[in-house]
Amino acid sequence: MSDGDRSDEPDGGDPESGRRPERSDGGADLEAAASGSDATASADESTAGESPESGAVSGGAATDVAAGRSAADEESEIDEGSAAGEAGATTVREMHLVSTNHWVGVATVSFLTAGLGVVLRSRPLFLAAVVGVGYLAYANATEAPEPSISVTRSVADPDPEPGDRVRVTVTVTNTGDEVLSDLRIVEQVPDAIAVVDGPARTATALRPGASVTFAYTVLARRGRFTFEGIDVIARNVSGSRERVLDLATAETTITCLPGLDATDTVPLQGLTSPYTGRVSTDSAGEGVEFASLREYHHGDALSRLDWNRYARDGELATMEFREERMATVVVLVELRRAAYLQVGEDGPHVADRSIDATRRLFNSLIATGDRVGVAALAPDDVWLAPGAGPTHQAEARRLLATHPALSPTPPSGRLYVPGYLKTLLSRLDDDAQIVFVSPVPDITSAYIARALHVRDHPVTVVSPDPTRTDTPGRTLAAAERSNRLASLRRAGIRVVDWEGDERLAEALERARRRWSA
Amino acid sequence: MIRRGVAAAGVVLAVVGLVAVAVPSVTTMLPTDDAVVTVLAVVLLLGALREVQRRRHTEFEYTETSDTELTLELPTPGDEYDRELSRVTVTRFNQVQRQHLRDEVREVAVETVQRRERCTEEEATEMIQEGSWTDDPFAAAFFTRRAPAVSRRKRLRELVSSTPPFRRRAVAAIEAIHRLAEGTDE
Repeated sequence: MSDGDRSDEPDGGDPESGRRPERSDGGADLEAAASGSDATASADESTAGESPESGAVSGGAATDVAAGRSAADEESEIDEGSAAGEAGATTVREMHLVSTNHWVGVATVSFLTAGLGVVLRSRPLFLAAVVGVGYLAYANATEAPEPSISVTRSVADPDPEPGDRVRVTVTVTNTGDEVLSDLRIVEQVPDAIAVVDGPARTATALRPGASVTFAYTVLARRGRFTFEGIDVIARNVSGSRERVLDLATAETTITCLPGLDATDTVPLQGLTSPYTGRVSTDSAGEGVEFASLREYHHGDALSRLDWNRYARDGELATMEFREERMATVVVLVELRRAAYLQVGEDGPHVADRSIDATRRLFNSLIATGDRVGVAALAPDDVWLAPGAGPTHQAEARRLLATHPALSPTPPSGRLYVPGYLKTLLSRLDDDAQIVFVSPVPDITSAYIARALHVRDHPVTVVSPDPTRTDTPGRTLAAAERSNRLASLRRAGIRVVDWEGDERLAEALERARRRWSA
Repeated sequence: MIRRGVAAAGVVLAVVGLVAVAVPSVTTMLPTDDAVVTVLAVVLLLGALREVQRRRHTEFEYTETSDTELTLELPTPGDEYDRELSRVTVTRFNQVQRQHLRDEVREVAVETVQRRERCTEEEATEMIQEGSWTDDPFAAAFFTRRAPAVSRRKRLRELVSSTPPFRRRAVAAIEAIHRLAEGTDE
């Protein structure tokens, strides 16, 4: 078992050249290099026989059906043979045939030699034209084979921690009865995750029953990622024709849940619930921080009497403290398409930072005893009603890590903002305040923050900075955003401008100092 | 259909040719005078020329495989402005494009001046129109569309430089806006 070692696509060269990985001979009963989940254990074998061919299949429809059937037969035979029942049935999602134009122009040789032969009245030269004809026949006599292959994929760790390296091993077996003389296989790695070691592809030739294994390493990040397809290019021997296939394989999933880390205490605004909590209010009553003195009423607790004053004046007075109340907070994270930004070419992914901040804010608020909910400003509905307790926290953790709307890839749909606001407002409790995590990429975000703020849900904007000032255009965008944040501040909204190289706790602390100043 | 016909004709001719190797008398009825042979040679050489041309005008069409190993690239705010700016060249005077870019920058400038000078939109627009909003003469000239108030040498240098004056002034204006926006916060 060896890694596929071809990474470069030949740029129009000889199809026979290029290094090829070793391949194990025969049989589908290869053991996966890494332990862990085996994607194909639950593969549905019945799909192979009825493979729907959605793509444009040019030429030879009858042979396609035949190939499909023989593939199914082969599959069932293997199944009977191997105890493990490993068979990575694949279905064709799309297929098309391409002429590579590799041999176009070879006829020149025939025409030239024959033409010169006639002009010079030279028989050997005229007969030499046959060589060119031979090449033409070689180039055009065969068609690209229709590969019938099975794919087995296994990951070393299906539940990694963020930042872990996960080894993915892919085994491709030729289950058809045709020799695949030139086969290129490219794994469909989910868009959001990067391959850090080894190309996720290989090039080889496979006899019927033979298989090839290649492996690569991906860097795990928050989210759930599914490997579900593979691209295959099969060429004929001469390389003049190629068949391009997009195959659906059995699904393999990596689920990566981030930890429970919180940030510093989140500064909240004065809107609170009737329950005792940690947000100091302006109303006097029971609490810790001294607020005022008032005349003694019959029934006041003795511990709250101001005995110093009694000793001085002989009058009874009751001390009052600032009441501390619990807040209801909804952390609203902006995940519209416009919020999927990146700081420079290799800088941090802003939507990811927003989601990370949401998680930290949530955990920190829960820890300080507030009721916290989560919502996402995204085309898909994401809503976790405010709550407290470990079950709620666990639910939020799962939601923030794996909800499809919170994926690191931008959403395809569009968000209808007025409709979204209406829904959100109907869900919010009267005493709920909003922590809006958004890079404020455009006017719309500012509008949403203002709309919530004026409807008596005080808004605190936590804004990961997506801008950079290395080019004139980016500098202009940075000034634009700076103006937008200023306009929010003018509207009475608290804004935490969280710069790229700063920890969230630092940004919060900086903002807190400014607010209390 | 035509391909098939041509292929059949080719096979028939090949058979005739093979027969001719064994029985040369078959070919006696074919015309062999110089004129016909010359025409044949010309046709063949023209065929060769056509094939050469065909090769020259045909691209290889190997299927490109995707860069599956890379994660997807996301934009950075302001990239579209950079694209617009890079389209401005000395040689192409696209007034519509330039006006569009100028309007976009002006919008941000008005907002920034309004915020910093605590004035109305009209006042800010006027300051920008007059060029009194910044100390940088090139930045001011971007909106006033008059010659920047600098020494003749500097003007000459601007004209000689490889960057078009429009872009140079746009960059100066953007930098001035940025300096203004990043000044002491409210």
